[in-house]
Amino acid sequence: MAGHKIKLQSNDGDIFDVEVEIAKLSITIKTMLEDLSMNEEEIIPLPNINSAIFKKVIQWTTHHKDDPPLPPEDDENREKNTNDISSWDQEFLKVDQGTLFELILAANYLDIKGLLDVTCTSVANMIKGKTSEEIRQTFNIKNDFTPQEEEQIKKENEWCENK
Amino acid sequence: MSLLTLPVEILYHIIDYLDISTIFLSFSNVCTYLRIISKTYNHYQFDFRSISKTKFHYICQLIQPENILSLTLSDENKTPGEIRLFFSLFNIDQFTRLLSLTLLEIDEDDLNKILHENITSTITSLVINWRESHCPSQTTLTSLSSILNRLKLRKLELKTGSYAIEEMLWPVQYTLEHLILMYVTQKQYCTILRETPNLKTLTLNHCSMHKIDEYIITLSDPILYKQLTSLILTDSRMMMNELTSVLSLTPSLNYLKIISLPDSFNTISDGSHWEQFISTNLPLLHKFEFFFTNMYNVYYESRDVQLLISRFQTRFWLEEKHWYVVCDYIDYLNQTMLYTIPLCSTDFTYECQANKISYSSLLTMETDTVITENVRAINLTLTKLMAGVATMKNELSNQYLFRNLTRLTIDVDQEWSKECVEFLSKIINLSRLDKITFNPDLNPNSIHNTLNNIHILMKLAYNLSTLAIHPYSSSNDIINMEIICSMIPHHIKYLELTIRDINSMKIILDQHEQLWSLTLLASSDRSTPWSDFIDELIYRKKDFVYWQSYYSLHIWFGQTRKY
Repeated sequence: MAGHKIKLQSNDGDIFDVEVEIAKLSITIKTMLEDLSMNEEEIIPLPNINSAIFKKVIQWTTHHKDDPPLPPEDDENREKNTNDISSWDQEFLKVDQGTLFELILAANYLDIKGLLDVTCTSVANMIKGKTSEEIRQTFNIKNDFTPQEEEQIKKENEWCENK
Repeated sequence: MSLLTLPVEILYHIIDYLDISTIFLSFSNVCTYLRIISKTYNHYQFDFRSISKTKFHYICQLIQPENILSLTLSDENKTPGEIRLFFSLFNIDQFTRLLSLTLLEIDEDDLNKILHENITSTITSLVINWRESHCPSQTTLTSLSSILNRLKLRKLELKTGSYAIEEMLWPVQYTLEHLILMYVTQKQYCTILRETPNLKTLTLNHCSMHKIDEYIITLSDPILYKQLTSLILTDSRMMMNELTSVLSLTPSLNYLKIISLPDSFNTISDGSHWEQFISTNLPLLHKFEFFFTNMYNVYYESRDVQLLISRFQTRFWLEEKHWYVVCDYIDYLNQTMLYTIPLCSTDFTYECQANKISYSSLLTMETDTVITENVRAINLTLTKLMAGVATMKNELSNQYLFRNLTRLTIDVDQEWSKECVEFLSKIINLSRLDKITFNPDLNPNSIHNTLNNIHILMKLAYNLSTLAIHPYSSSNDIINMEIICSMIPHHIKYLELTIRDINSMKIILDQHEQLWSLTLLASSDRSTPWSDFIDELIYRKKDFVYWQSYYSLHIWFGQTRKY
């Protein structure tokens, strides 16, 4: 029923009243409600998500609640699609890296495919077109190759340079 | 929280969105962990349509065929000779988990070899695009038919020339859901629908069934094929009665798209005919897109265009279906275009308002940017266009008219003025362009200005990777290759050029070492000694593969050998 709400609790204790139809964009919550016959009056705990991230998730699902359903995920449907992100999502994803990664984990835990796709696309776009060193700087990653391995990579990169 | 602390399956999902060059040349060289991640990832989708030969070799060394789900190889102008080179390194049966195989511009001999190898039965999507739309031989068609019989395909695309595919024995395919073909006769259309009981979407390109037969109309009791829900007919020449006889066989269509140059424009452009036919025969049709262009000269006045549009302003079109239509009549060409909006043709000839009479079935006209949002390629006859533009200087919107354009073809037979470039930069988001094709006028009287303005255009189109130049010489027979070369920015990777002699080729090689591929087309009035050019490349110790036809040479460059 449209407008009907359920209570969802983040791991830091905050309780959120969320419309059932919006909450059901999460396959995890949908399964809890339908397969596990959870009472809609019960408070559903979300032990892996804090309230700041959950607020962002609700913001995203509310905006995308009327999107057409995505095709089922199977190997044949894993077509590499466009890396374009809608302007609303681009604005939504203007967050620091930590928040972006936590959103990815939340989308993964809640099983919200659309949010997982767009957050992973956003990270991929941060990687695309960059050299290894630029990726290290972007994500603060230490280069742990041995000098020999490093030399080999350098040689290979020189070989491919400009071609 | 950092990238490296994300679960492996998330890192794999991020790789899903990366191109192969980034994965193998950057991502896997960041640290040992990401190297392991890229080695254990087993959902690779290798698309080799735009890659340098050097990177191609490097990546091929790292390929683990069993980790590849999708493989796209192409002999198109960006990577000529790639397919033969790839299959000199791998056999198709090594790709044991392959789901999708796409072969573009493939040579008939190369295809035959692949078809005779043991193509893995896991493949569910197969795309074969014959080189220069050649007709496949009977041997190839027999092999293909046998393979189609063995595979459980869900998607099949065969792009070939003429009606050769008619000769292929079409096996029953219960799994096939999506099919794209060219040149199909009415009889074969019925055969295909009969043998594919689960087909959902069908695209027929160069669809001019009436040229061959009138099969359906002779059937006393035609069978209806209710499985099909989506039908696309492109480059159709069918007349209205032919179209309706074909369409009436598939009553469950919910999507229909027709791009047509009909022999008889008057009947096909009649909204009331379509309204009656759809109401009676296609009750489930939810989306109808079309783009009709008249083939022969017509002379319309404003009231003719209005009358044509008025037939699309009934309750059926506007309130029931919400299908809206525009009609453009271009005065100097005597050409009419009738189309639903947004435009469904990705390829479009643009004309400015001053040069056309235009009416829409909508009472309030959509903004032009909404109408053109799907357009990816446009052709501009700049000479005529600029004359019209001069009268409407202040009417140009602040928004790009073509914001998603990637390919631009410019036809201009005069000096490139500053106004030309200003106009282009106002209507097109030039930074998104990937390819420009143009025919510069090399008239010595105006070449200085033309060059300056081409340089400005190239600077604005900074993401351009492909340039196709087919010089137009208004003064004499000489094409100055130095001038042509000076038009080519050094970020261009793929060059297509019309040339006249071996010296022209040498100048390109001297001045543009950065090129990943080069396509040379012979001037129409000359025979060109391609073998001389191949010898020159060998002499220069170039690493390259190529294919050639009588009138063209297509080369894919690697690195020059040092010794």
